[in-house]
Amino acid sequence: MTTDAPRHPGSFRHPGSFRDPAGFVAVREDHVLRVVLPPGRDDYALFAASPLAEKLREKQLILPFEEIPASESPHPGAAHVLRSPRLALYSFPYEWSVSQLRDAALLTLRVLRLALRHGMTLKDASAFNVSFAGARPVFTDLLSFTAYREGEPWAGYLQFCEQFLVPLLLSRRAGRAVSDLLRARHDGIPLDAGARLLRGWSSLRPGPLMHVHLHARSIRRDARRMRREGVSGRLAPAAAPRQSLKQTLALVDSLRRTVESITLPGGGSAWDRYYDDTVYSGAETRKKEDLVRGWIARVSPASVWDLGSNTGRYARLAADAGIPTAAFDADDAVVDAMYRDARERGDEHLTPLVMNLANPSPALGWAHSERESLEARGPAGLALYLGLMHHLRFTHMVPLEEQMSYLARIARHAIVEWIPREDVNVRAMTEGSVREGFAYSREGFLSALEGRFRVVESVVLGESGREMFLVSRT
Amino acid sequence: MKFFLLYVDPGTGSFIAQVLIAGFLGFLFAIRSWLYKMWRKMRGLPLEDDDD
Repeated sequence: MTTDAPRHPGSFRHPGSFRDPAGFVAVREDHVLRVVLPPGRDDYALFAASPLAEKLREKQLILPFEEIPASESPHPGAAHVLRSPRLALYSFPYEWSVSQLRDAALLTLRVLRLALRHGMTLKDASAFNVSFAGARPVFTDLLSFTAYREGEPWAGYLQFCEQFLVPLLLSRRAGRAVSDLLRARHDGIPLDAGARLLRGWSSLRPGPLMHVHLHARSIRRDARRMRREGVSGRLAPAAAPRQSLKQTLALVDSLRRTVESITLPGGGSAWDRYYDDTVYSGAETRKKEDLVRGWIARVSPASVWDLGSNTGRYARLAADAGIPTAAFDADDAVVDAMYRDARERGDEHLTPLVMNLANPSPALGWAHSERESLEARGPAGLALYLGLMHHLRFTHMVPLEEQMSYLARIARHAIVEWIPREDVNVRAMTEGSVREGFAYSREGFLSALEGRFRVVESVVLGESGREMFLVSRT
Repeated sequence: MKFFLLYVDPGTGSFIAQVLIAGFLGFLFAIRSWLYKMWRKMRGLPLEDDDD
């Protein structure tokens, strides 16, 4: 989602927005359009006329939207066109920490419950229907609301289990690895695989027992029956199972309780573990903070990406200045702690995300077009590249030339910290290992900037020899 | 036929499971609400309605 000029020339529709026959999304420079097509007309009319839309807006569960004349859509045959503000960065479930996935699951259930109370329901339960505005999850898919028909089960049940419930239950065992699994299976972890992976302890608790194990068993049994009987094995509509609204609400409440009961592994300790900054004197840290704050104000970017944020100390400087800020860290536990802190403070601008810059989010889905890579969602107005270069150089063996080349692709301006080889943290990584031989010098760094960035200002922080650079793309 | 023309098709196996589970949970809920109502009645408390 980059600029007004579509990356696929000639297309108005977001290239990944093709699944829903009720409409599609088009991303413009500062807003997002949802085009409602004739198949979605009635559902949207019902949604817009019911107090549900107002309630969701009031409770800030969805992004604000307004209807604009359909004639403003270059797409012929649009029934309605809705305009919402565009988030600075749309994040995806595989970039969320466990608490973020949990909050997105609870948001989905809350939205569904409200919809059911107003004669509507959600036709799916995709985790991609949720994104984060600051540290607040918001439900983004307005086309997901559809009329509730008496007696119908919830169509999103299986999807909810595969995209939310199973990953959350697995996170108790696998922690960070769950977001990697979700990246590989962006449509969710198949229930059958989930049930096998969760065998044992979880099958003894009522929530997982019902929603994962019995659910998976029923699907397996039905698949066997279908193999035996062929298409004729499909239930006739008259024999279709029915469930009352009360039963559906009881199901939703049970899912909510199950999600709420998932406690998070580890937790708080991450805060203590970090702070590389301890090698700095207090004065140096303050100087670094003042410098970063000043440079952020000077660049005044529309968005900030902190590419290796740790606990988000510097990202918060940008967020506090009212700039939409994404704080990336590879460590799920650190991101989780940062998120919970930001959520408690009601932070409107800081979005912590799990991202390992050595292996950033790729483009995923059909024709690589459904979920954009990190780069395609940029460039950021300003990137913070603090205490990161030596990690990438010595842990992931990325040469400085490569690092600055990528940085120039994802950010217009950057604040880069140079940490000399003599620094105690760098020595801890290199001494006595083959890494001592890796090219890593200030001259090498400056030459890597050449042709990509110009140095606007540089400041030595103090005794440690660390040096801060404000650079702008040439 | 409209019933099965859904945007995502979870398949019959998932529907059957859901209907059974929701039926069971609805039953539990009904019992619990009934007990709760009785309990409030016995203490002479007014009945409340739940919403979001």
